[in-house]
Amino acid sequence: MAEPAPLLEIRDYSLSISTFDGVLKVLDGINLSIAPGEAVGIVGETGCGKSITVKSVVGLVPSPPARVEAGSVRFDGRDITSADEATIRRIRGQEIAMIFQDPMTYLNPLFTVGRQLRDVIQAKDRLKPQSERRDKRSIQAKAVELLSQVHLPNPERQLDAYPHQLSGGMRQRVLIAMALAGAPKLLIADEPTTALDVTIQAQILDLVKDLVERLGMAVLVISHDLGVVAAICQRIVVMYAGTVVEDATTEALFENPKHPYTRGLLAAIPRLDGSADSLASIAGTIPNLIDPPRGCRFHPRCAEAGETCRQAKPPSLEGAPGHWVACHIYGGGVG
Amino acid sequence: MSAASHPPVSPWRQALAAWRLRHHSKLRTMRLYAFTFSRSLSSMIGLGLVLLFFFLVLAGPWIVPYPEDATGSVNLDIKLQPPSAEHWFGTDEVGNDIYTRVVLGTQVSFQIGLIVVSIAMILGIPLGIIAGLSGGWLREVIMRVTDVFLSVPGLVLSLAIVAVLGPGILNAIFALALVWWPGYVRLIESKALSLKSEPFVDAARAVGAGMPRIIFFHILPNCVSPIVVKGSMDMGLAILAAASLGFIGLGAQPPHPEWGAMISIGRNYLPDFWWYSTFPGIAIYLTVLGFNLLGDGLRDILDPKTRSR
Amino acid sequence: MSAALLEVRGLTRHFRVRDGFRQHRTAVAVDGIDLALRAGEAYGLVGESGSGKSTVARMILRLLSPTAGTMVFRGQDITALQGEALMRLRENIQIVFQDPHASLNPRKTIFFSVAEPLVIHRGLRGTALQNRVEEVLEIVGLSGNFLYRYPHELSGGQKQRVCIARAVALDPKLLVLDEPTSALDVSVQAQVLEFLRDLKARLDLTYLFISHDLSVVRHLCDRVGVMYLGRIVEEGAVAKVFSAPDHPYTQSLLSAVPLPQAKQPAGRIVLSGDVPSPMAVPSGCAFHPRCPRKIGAVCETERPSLDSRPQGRRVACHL
Ligand SMILES: Nc1ncnc2c1ncn2[C@@H]1O[C@H](COP(=O)(O)OP(=O)(O)OP(=O)(O)O)[C@@H](O)[C@H]1O
Ligand SMILES: Nc1ncnc2c1ncn2[C@@H]1O[C@H](COP(=O)(O)OP(=O)(O)OP(=O)(O)O)[C@@H](O)[C@H]1O
Ligand SMILES: [Mg+2]
Ligand SMILES: [Mg+2]
Repeated sequence: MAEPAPLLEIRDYSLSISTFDGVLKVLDGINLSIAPGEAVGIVGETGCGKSITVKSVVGLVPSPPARVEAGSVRFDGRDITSADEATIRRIRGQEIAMIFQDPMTYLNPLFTVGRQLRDVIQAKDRLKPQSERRDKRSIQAKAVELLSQVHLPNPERQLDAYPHQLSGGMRQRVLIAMALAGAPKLLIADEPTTALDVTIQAQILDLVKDLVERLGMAVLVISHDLGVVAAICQRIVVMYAGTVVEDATTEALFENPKHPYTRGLLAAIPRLDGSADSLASIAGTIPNLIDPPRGCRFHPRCAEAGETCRQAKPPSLEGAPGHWVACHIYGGGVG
Repeated sequence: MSAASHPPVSPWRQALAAWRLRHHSKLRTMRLYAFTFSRSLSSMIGLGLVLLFFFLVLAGPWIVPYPEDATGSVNLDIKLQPPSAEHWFGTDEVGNDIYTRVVLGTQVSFQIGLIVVSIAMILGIPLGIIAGLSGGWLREVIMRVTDVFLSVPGLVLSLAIVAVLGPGILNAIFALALVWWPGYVRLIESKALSLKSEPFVDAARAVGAGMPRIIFFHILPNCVSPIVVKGSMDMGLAILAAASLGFIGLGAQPPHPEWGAMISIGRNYLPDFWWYSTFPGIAIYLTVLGFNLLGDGLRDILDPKTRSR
Repeated sequence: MSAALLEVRGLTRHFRVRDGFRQHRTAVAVDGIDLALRAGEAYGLVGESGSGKSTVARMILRLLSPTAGTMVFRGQDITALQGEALMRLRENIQIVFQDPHASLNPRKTIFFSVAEPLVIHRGLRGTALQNRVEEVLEIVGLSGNFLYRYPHELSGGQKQRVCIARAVALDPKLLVLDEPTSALDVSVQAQVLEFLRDLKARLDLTYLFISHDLSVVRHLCDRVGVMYLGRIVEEGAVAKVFSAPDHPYTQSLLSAVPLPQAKQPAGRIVLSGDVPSPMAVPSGCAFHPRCPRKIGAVCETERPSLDSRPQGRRVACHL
């Protein structure tokens, strides 16, 4: 397919973390790519490696204990797999922005929202040549503009508020505003609405969707809620125990899920219209990452597993165009 | 596996296996603690110093060369001799062996530390629990009194108390214990206050657990770590405080082998007879350092969340 | 349908909240709610964070005393029970909390936690205790292997099962479930939900199921009450309320849920603004500042009562 060059491309990426109990094989050959302006979602259950994938890419996982075992990461045409701290920090500041589940941990309770926002704008400015830097006035104006971009009511007044005076939804908006300050090419949102109420979540989802369309940013949304991801993203990546099991357009994933894990996940969701009579749960539990199952990491819980599944790690194959599945069933290899 | 296919196992072995099954988790946690602890050099140094201290407390009377020198014997013919093979740390102004007196001083220090910290805990922990769980005016009264004590520097307050009661080791211990308990009230009060609203305490109340049960099974076991940590630190601090009182002549009186008092007398013979003050000083320093490092190390393994980054 | 197992009238709870230095304000967490649970049903209580769901649960469990109102359980007024009678009530009403990790004492084994109600109420010890604990763990699908483990060694789903085991150890009549699955993963949640449904039939239980997740309530419950700022705004059979909500708040709540499907339905109602603080509940209908279908001054001045409508539904709205 004639796709545009990916903005972020993660190839066969494997990561391990050493702990007291042993070495956790946290990521095992992850493939993930995001085109400019695309909205991609990562879903999976707790501990499957969603956060660690993105944190590792932007250099937020301390090493040691973490260690990149294999693979490469390219951002915007550059190989950043083993980029030095300064480069990564510049990319993180300027081109990739992140927002997290709990905004309060990333806001300083002692300073006003305005002060923190201005600091961020100034920090981004410092990366620019002298001539393009803003003066005090236009920094203030920029701060107001950013807050109105995230639809915070009364932006001028909110600049003087302290984080604890804002509600959870408003704090998340402030965090998004900070993320937008550097006009990033990629916005990574790690569980951006998990701590919020449904009605507030709907507001934030609308906002993110609107920003993506308006600013042409790419977004990577991480969530354990398939609904959240479906509401924003064009493409969804399903992870299980440190591997990517399926990667498909939102439509294809819901209409025609292929991997047994994806199917199990979809059958486990209670439906608002009451259409699921009884929920199918996936037998067994998440594997121990110190000694993960050989072959396909899902095979001990998979009803359809055969001998090959126990032996060989399934390659990721493109079944239909743009629909990748890592499962032996579709490689004709089950026996 | 069926039991029959194995040769008969002695009941002893069986009991041990059952015990290990029950305590498997605990043993594993202990191993993890030991592992984490042993990886920190400062914690190991602390442990080493504290173990040495306890060894001297227990074995002191048997290993010192001149046990009678701690009880007021006088050998003026060998007074103020420098360190030598017979007298490793030299001798003092009445010819007593300083090495003997420093080693036997561990017993005095240990007694002071233990008594002060125990009394502080016996007073402080129940008051802290009452304040944390009761709320209302009872809490106000306890905490205000605690605040008053905490707002005056402990040593100054104990000085005042000893000044009133008169110098002496018992009075010093009493005075120190009296200023030491508020720290425990503070610690336990805040801990109990936060534990009180934990869901597991609510769950216990919901199944009908009464106050005593909640305190002894749910609140106290979760306070053990901070108590152990503070207790270790306080052992060192109490020993230092007692030595300070001894130094200004309000604590233990000669010929009692107390480090603070020894330094105080030795001070008159500085700098010519340097060994007199130096060795008790080093003993105090190492003991306090040891208990502090140990406390720090214990905090790191028992309470990793409060660790400084 | 049988008579009410638990009937709650005008239940109200205020909190005094410290606001700044030496100032106190009153937060109205629960504001005069009426509820009747029928024996054998699963009643869902939904609402956003801070709407007062947990406060209702804690009052029913007698962990918190109401500011006003009465609670009648099996014909007995339980609002002010004390001593022996309260202990007997505790055998009949039990609770499972949201965070399975926080609701188990981290310093005690699973055995201790499950045994606690049996020790307190039945005075069991030794082998009798051991057998009963194993039996109860069996009910929730855990084997004896877990007896001497500590909570941090169990997965979230296993911990929640332990909490459920503790709650059903005394054969209660009413089980209050305060968001029992919101800390769990989808596939684990599916296990726990199916298990809860099965357990209810097996042990003849009545559920008060609290959740902010509408799909979960839809799946497990027979009737649902929707709370907003401490008041019930709509109540009725789950299927009816979810397919044709009457109250504008219920409508927007349902429409705000992002659906796990490719096409999101058109015409979603996205409410503006935040949920007001319980320290400053709006006058009249508490929902009026955000209501997309406000009809006029009545909404701002007059508090709508929870009126009965056909098919056993109740709605508090001027519309
Ligand atoms: N600093 C760390 N040290 C040791 N193990 C870690 C560390 N960070 C993450 N892990 C492990 O790596 C795995 C992946 O963690 P990650 O945080 O990416 O999960 P996640 O998919 O984001 O889950 P969640 O939905 O709970 O956020 C987990 O098994 C976790 O225990
Ligand atoms: N002990 C307390 N002191 C002061 N205010 C309280 C207390 N407990 C609850 N509240 C307040 O009462 C209101 C209702 O709280 P409650 O916990 O019942 O909400 P909830 O519906 O269970 O929310 P969530 O979905 O977040 O669990 C909240 O605004 C809360 O701040
Ligand atoms: Mg995560
Ligand atoms: Mg709650």
